Amino acid sequence: MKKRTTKTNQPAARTKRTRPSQQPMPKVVRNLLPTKTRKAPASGFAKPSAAAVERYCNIPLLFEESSDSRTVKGRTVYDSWADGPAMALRDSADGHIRRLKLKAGNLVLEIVAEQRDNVWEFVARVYDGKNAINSFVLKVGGRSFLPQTGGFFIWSSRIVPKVLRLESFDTSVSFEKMPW
Amino acid sequence: MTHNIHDIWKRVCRSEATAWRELVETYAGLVNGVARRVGLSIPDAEDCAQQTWLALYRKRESIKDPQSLPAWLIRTTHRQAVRMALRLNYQSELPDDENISDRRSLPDELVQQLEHQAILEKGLEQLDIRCRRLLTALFLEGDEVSYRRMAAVLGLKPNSVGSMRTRCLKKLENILKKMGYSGD
Repeated sequence: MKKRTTKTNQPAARTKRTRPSQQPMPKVVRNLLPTKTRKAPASGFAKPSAAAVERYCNIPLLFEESSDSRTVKGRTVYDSWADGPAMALRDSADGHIRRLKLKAGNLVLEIVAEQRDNVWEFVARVYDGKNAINSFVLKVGGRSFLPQTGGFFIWSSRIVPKVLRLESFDTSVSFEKMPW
Repeated sequence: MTHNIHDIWKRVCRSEATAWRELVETYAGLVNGVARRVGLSIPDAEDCAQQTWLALYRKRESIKDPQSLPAWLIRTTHRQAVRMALRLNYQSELPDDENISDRRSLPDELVQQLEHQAILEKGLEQLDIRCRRLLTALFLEGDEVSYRRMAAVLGLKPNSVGSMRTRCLKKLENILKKMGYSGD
C-alpha cells in the first residue's frame, strides 16, 4: 500500500546555523580570543629589528661574565692625542676632545670623548669590518653598557676610562691601559 | 619546538643565558608593540624596550608567577614609553587635541587584550601554515568569514572546513597547554 504524504504550506524547519566564530572551541583558546569585538589587530605586533633583539639577549652580560668566552687582547691603533704627551694636551684649547680607535683582530672600537664642564661625554661604537655590531657589552671600570640603536654606547663620567673591555657570550676583549 | 613559560622562567632565574634569549624572543614583539602604540618612533621604541628588558632582568627574582610576565611587560613598557615620549618632546608632533599625558593610564581591559593577543600569536606561530591561516581568518580578522568563502581561499571543499577547524583548534589547544597557559 502506498504511503500517503501530506503536503503542507509550512516551510521546512530550519536547523539553526551558527557563525564559524561562535561554534564550540577549547576553553583555553576561547579565553584568549577577543570577546566584545572581533577587531583585534590581525597584523600582530611589530617585531623589533634583529640588532635590537641581539642587544636585549646580551643583557645578562652586564651582570655576569660568560664562562665560555675566550680572551683576546686589543690595542690602540689611533689616538688623536698621540702627537704630543697626553698630559700637556689635556688642558690645551683643543685638548677637550679625544678620538680613539682600538682594535682586536677585525674588531674595531671607536671612541669619541668630549669634555664639558668637567664632565666627559663618551660615544663609542664597535665595528666588525664595515658594519656596527651589537653582540658586545662595553665595560668601563666598574660600569657596563649595552649599545643603543645604531650600536652606539653613550655615557658620561667625571672620571676618564683607563681600562676598557668588550664582552660577548663567546669573546672577551681587553684593551691596553690608556694614559689620560 | 614548544617552550613552556614556567620552565623558561625557572631557567632565567638560574641566570641561564639561553633561557633569557628564549624569553626575549617570545615577547620581543609584545614589548615593542606596546612602545609603538604610545607613538614612539622605531628606534626610540627599541631603546624603550631595552629599558624594559633590563628592568625585568634586574627584578627577575621578585616575579614568582611567570603567567604574570606579559602583563608586567605591558605595564612597564607603557610607563617607560610615556616617560620617554614626554622627555623627547613627542607632544610637539601630536595634533593640538591629543596629549601624551592622556596616554599615561592603561586600562586593565586593554592590558588583558594585549596579553591574550601575545599568547595567541605565539601559539598560532607554532601551527602549520594551513591551520594558522584558517584560525587567523576565522577569529582574528576584521570581518566574519563564512565557511564557503574560507574554503575558496584555502582551496578546500566547503564541507571540510568545519572538521579542519576542529582539528586546528585541538592542535592550538595542545600548543597553548604545552606553553603553560591553562586558560584559567
